[in-house]
Formats: sequence, C-alpha cells, structure tokens
Amino acid sequence: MPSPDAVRIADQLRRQQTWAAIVITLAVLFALQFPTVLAHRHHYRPVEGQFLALAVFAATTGWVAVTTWRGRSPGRWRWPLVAVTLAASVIATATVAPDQYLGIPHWSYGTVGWPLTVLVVDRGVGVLAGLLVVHFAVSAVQVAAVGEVAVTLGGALQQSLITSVFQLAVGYGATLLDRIAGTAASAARKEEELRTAEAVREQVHADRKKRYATLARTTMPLLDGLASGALDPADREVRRACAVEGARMRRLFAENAEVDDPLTHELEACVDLAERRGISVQFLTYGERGPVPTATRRLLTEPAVVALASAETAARVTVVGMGDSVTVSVVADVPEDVIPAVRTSEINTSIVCEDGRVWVKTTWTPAR
Amino acid sequence: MIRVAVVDDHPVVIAGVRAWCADADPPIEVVNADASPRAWQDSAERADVVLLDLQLEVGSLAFDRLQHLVDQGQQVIVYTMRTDRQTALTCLDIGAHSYLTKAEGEHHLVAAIHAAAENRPYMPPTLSGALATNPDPLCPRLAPREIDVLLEWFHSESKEMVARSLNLSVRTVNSYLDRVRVKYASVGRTARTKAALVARAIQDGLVHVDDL
Repeated sequence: MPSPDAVRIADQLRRQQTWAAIVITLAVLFALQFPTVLAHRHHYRPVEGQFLALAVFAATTGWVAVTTWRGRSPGRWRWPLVAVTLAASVIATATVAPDQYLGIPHWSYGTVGWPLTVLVVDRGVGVLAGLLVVHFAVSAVQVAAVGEVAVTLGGALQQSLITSVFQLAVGYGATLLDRIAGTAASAARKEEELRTAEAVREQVHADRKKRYATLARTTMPLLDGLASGALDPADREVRRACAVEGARMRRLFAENAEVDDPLTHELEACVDLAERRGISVQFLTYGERGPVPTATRRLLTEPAVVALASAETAARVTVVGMGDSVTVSVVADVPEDVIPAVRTSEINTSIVCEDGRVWVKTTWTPAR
Repeated sequence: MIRVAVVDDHPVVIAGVRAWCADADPPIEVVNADASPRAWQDSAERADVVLLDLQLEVGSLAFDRLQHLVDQGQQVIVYTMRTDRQTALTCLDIGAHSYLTKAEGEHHLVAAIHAAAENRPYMPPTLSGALATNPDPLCPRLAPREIDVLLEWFHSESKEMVARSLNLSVRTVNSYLDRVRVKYASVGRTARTKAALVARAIQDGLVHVDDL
C-alpha cells in the first residue's frame, strides 16, 4: 500500500506525463499528419475516412486533456474510447489506396499509438504495449487481405518499431515516474521524521536544562553542603530539607508524564513519597478544574510539596476546583516556619496554625 | 442509651466501631453487628441508628438496602470507603442521615451517631466537599458564605481553623454547616428521615420555614 504522500506525488507526475503525451499527440496530428493527408488526398478512397480518423484522434486527445485539466482520470470512458480510436484506425487503413499501405499516405498506422498513449499513459507501459500489438495485428490482417504493400517487410517492421518505440518510451517514462514518486515520498517522510525527532530532542533538552536550573537553585546547595561536610545528615533540619528536595524532584519527574490531570498526578507522586516515610495521608479532590499551566502548577503545589515532605505523622491533602480557581490545601503536623507562602498576582497562600497542626491553602485564580 | 446497628462485612470495622461507641459520651450501645440479610432486617426494629456499609457485595452499591431502611423511617449513616461525589449525593437524596468515609475517624463517627439519634444534622468534611462542588442545577441554592464554610471545613477538617480562617465563631461555623445539611434534606425525594431532620431544625431555630 503506497503512502498518501507517494500517491499525491505520483498523481502530480502522472498528470504532467499525460500533458506531455497530449502535446506530442496534438503536434503530430496537426503539424505532421494533417498536411500529409492534404498532400496525398488522391491516395484515399475516399479522403473523408482520413478526416474522420484525424477528428477521432484529436477528439479523444482533447477529451483526455479536459478530464486531466479537471484533475480526474479517464475513468469508465477509457476503454470505449480506446475501442473507438482503434476502430477509427481500421477505417483510416481501409480508406488508403492498397498500393500505399505502410507508405507515407498511410499515416494512421504509426500515429494511432499516440492517442492510445494519451488514453492509457497512467496504466503503465504494459497496457500500452498490448494495445499496440493489437493494432499491429489488426493492420497486418487488413494489409494481408488486400495483398499489396508500398514497402518491403523490413521497411514495415522498421516503421512499426520506430513509431512505437517513441510511444512506449513515453509510457515507460510514466511507469518510472511512479516508482520515483514512491522513493520521493519515502525520502520526504524520512526527512520529516528526522526533523520532528530533532525538534522533540531539542524540546526535551531545553526542558531538562530548565528543570536542572530549577533544581540547581535548591538541590545543589544541599548536595554541596552534604559533600563538603558543612551539613550534618544527623541534623533533623538537614534530613527534612533532603525530604523536601526529594519531593520536588519527584514532582519534576511527574511533570513529564502524559496524563489527563497533571496536577493530581504530581501531587500523588509527593503523597506516595510521604506514605513511604510512614506518613498517613488522606488525598481528596472535588470539583471541576480546567488545565493549570506547568509553571503555575509548580507554584501552586510548592507549599503542599514542602508540607508533605515535612509532615511528622499525618497529612490531609485536598484539591478543589471552583469556577476558574483551583485550590490545593494541606493540613499536616509540621513546623509552621518551614512552609513557603507563595504569593503572586494570581496565586495566594493562607496559613492557619492550630494545636501543632498547620493548614496551608494555596489558591490560583487566573487573571481574566 | 442510643442503640446502633452496624451493617458491615469487615470484622475489624465492627470491632473498631464497638470500641469507639463504648467510650462515647453519652453512651452508645452496638445492638447488632453483621452483614447478613437477617441481621440487617432485625436492625431496623431494634436500633435507633443504622451504620451501613455501601459495598456489601462486589461490584454493586447497596442503594436498595439504604432505600429500604429509609422507607422504614430509620436514620442511616452511610459508612464507606467511597469518596466520590455522586455516591454521596445519591445517598443524601435517598434519605441517609449522613455520609461518612472510613478515612474519617472516631470523632466524626460518634458525633454523627449522636446527631442522627436526635434527628439533628451532621456534616462530615468529605460530604462538605461534595456538597460545595455539587454541579447539579437542581441542588439547593447556597449562599457564597455557606460555600466558603463548606470548602474550608472540607480542606481543614477543623472547625477551629475554619473559624479563624473566616473570622467566625465555631458556633457560627456549625450553624452554617447544619443549615446547608437541612437545605439538602428539604429537596429531592421525600423521606420520613429527611422530614424529621427539617422539623427538628425548625424547632431548634436553626432555619425558618420561609428559608426552605
């Protein structure tokens, strides 16, 4: 099954090939053979047969020109027209004076191949060759029935060969172009795939750099501190900071996933991390929410990420979509001073403390 | 003494409920704890409140059992693992007194049983979140402040925190929550349990007839 691209390219090339055949045929008919008929009018019995053949060949070619112009193929009229063309050729041969068979006045013998080429050029060279063989066979029968020829057998063969070689060459060209179209399409597709892959790679790389930049601000100082010994892993605060960085990284990794609801997905990643630390977490979400842009999600979940990573025993995480706004809330037993309060033009954080529990609620209300 | 029947097929849940009820004040007696159809039938006659697990059979929710109990005038607290909004709303519409998730602990369970026994409303936090975000155009019309209170209660699970966050007293927070619950009792399918809740709320001065 050829690809749609190959079909499109092949169609284009085939149309051009058909146009070339049409132009050649019309030129042969009017510039070469029409004057021939006029010059040898006394060799025909009667001459009208020749005019009829000329008219049929020209009309067939003209009809294909019109359908090609409209972007269609000859369709179901192809084979009736082939038959009409061959019939016209038989009439033309029959109205040539027998002593002129295969001579110059018998122009239709070599020329009928051109309208046939126009009709079947898009069906491959095999079909055209078949039609030419039919034509030669019919003509041979007609000539043999009369028994007179203007040329020798060698001359006849030569003439048949010379004209049909041109016609077959055009037909073969069309077949070749079909193959070229397939190659061109697959080459174009490969190039396109390569370009897409390149663009994706660049995007992934840029994302990675951006993520690294985000981590570099917070994770790197921590790792530096641990490596240099400036930070003591036995220190509770250092361990908490590590848990927070771990949660941030989990959220960053979760950002990459193709999911319907990235906000929930990222929070679930952090909930999972907290549960692995033995924290009992309740996670509930209600209400309808639209998509939240990645940068906004990062800000919106930041207090929750820190609270989840810092919780001592239990946390309640709730997400609510109301109208345009989205609220992410966490209640957890954490030290109040560790929770960052995110405040931008669109995001607001409220913190309430009660009995050793901190409730941090971050709401995003997109500006209209 | 308040008598409660527990319809649940998990022994550990029954044991937990028994333990919580034993410590309750005023005291609560667990008169029946089983999931068999017979026990479930008996419970309606012997108990003041039925605690009903919705997922007694795999793949189906026991809405029909809830309907049956409600038709008998029984106050039912649905006690379930499910947190989805639609299930909660359906249970309230049928006439359940309250919808409590199993993640919500002792405090809510005991408070809900006490409230149910007296036909007074009780609003657990998860149900509060479900009601605040109810998209049904036929749901009771809630004032913006009522929605604020519902959401804050859902988020924080602490009435003290809601009161501080919204600059209200805990008493006011409670009355907002109760009013919303009564509003829901006065819409949808009719049920004796709903009518009892509304009547009690009017007697307590929680709502006026004109408000509903």
